[in-house]
Amino acid sequence: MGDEHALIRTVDLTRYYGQHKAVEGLNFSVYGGEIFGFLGPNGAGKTTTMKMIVGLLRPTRGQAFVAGHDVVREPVAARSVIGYVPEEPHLYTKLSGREFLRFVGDLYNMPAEKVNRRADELLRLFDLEEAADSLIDSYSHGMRQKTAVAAALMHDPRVLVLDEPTSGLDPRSARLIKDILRQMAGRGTAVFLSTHIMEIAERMCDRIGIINAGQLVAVGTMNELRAISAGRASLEDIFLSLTGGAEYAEIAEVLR
Amino acid sequence: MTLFRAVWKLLRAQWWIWLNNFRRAKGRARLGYVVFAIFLLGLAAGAFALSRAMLSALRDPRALTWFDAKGLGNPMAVIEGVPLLVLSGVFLLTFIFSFQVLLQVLYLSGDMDFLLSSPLPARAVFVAKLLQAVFPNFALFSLFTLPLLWGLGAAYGYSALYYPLVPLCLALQTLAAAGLSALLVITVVRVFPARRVFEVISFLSAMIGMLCSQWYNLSRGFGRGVESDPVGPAVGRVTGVIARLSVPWSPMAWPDWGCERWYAGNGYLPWRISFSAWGLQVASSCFR
Repeated sequence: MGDEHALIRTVDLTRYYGQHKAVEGLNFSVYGGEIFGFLGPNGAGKTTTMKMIVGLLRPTRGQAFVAGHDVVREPVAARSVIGYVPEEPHLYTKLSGREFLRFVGDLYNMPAEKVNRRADELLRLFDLEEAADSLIDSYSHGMRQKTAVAAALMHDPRVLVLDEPTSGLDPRSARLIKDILRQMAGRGTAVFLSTHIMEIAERMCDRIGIINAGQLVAVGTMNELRAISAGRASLEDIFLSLTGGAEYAEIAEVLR
Repeated sequence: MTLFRAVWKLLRAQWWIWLNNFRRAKGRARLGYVVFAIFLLGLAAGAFALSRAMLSALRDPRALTWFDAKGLGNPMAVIEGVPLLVLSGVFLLTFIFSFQVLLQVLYLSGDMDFLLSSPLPARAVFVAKLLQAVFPNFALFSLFTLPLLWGLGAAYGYSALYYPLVPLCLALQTLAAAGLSALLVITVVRVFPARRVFEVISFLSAMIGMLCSQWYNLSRGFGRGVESDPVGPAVGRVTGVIARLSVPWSPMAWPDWGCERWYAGNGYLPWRISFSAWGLQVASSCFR
């Protein structure tokens, strides 16, 4: 697939915090219809990359394009096609789930009738119907996470960017979110997600990018990653070999 | 989406949140809000009546004679300077008190990432946050300044145009001060981390608050007690301050002229509006 068809494209994307290099020279693309997993150790630059893609951080150098729009030069056009779920989503806790979804729909300029219909659909889909009119203040962590994902889906985005979407969720809710992301990808949405859970990345993602110390060390399908990691079978082994964590695995093996 | 529409959406959401808080509050708390609002309105009405009565009394020839006999000079100079003093005070207090609040809402509040990742112009988010931040201070200042200034107008028979101009000038003054304060916040945050600045400001505020509350005792302790005749020097000091503030190049003097003189044919109010708009424009374009 040509890069011109990519819904997310980064070109030499770089971000420095003072002298500290957070992300340097990232070049990758995510296409419509695929789930792209973004893996890396803590502090590798995953969240910084995601924030640059959604336009929350200005790159020190390079560019990020979303649906063909430069996120720095055309921020509003780029953001209008993105659904973003940060690692710790902010919800207005003094609104009910339904009110919050309506507010989000309003921010995306959706017609009122469509907002109401879509909010009802999503509340049903995420099993939040009963709590729809309760304040978010009273929601559990899982319910809040589902509300955040529902809010990101309100405007039927072409690009979904999710930072650890299943963190802290019970297996049922995690499964629900995985199924919904798969459905979204099936409808042509580009899903870009970061996770620490190798099983999720291995089973869900069409392609995986591994970032370490701000640099993209590998990108490809599971088979392509196996090929560049001397045939290591599991994603965990590939990840550890590429990010320099293999020695910890060996220590753990000795201690066993 | 236009700037105004986006700002309106954000403010409407805030209003909705406030309304939800009220609607879902317990009966007793809701009653408490209503009683408190009535109390505030009563306070404002009382302040209006008091300021009108006092300012009218000061025009009495007997009062003028008394001031003259005491060698205090003409109190009219102070009275005429009341709008300037009040509006200058609002400007300075808003500028100072908005700094910490703006720092918090623009850089430390949890919803900034959510709002800035939505397809709203960053400028709209800035303006909505600024309005949200300065509104409590504006309401508090208005509670005391509006009755005083309206009382002045009533005592001196200002034209009807004066009354809507006073809140307009107060609002513009507040916006101008908040815009400059936001500009300072944006500049500071480019050099120092926002959270660290917030901690330092909080500490300094607490220290200054404590020092201010103890100032009277400290000054007595150091032998600077209350003067035996505080009125004379106070009048002199106030007229001195007014003279220093009332200069053409001081933005703080413009709204006073706007209020008092615009209805008489002078065109200072458009300058005031331009200044406030400019302040907001510069601050919002520097944001992000």
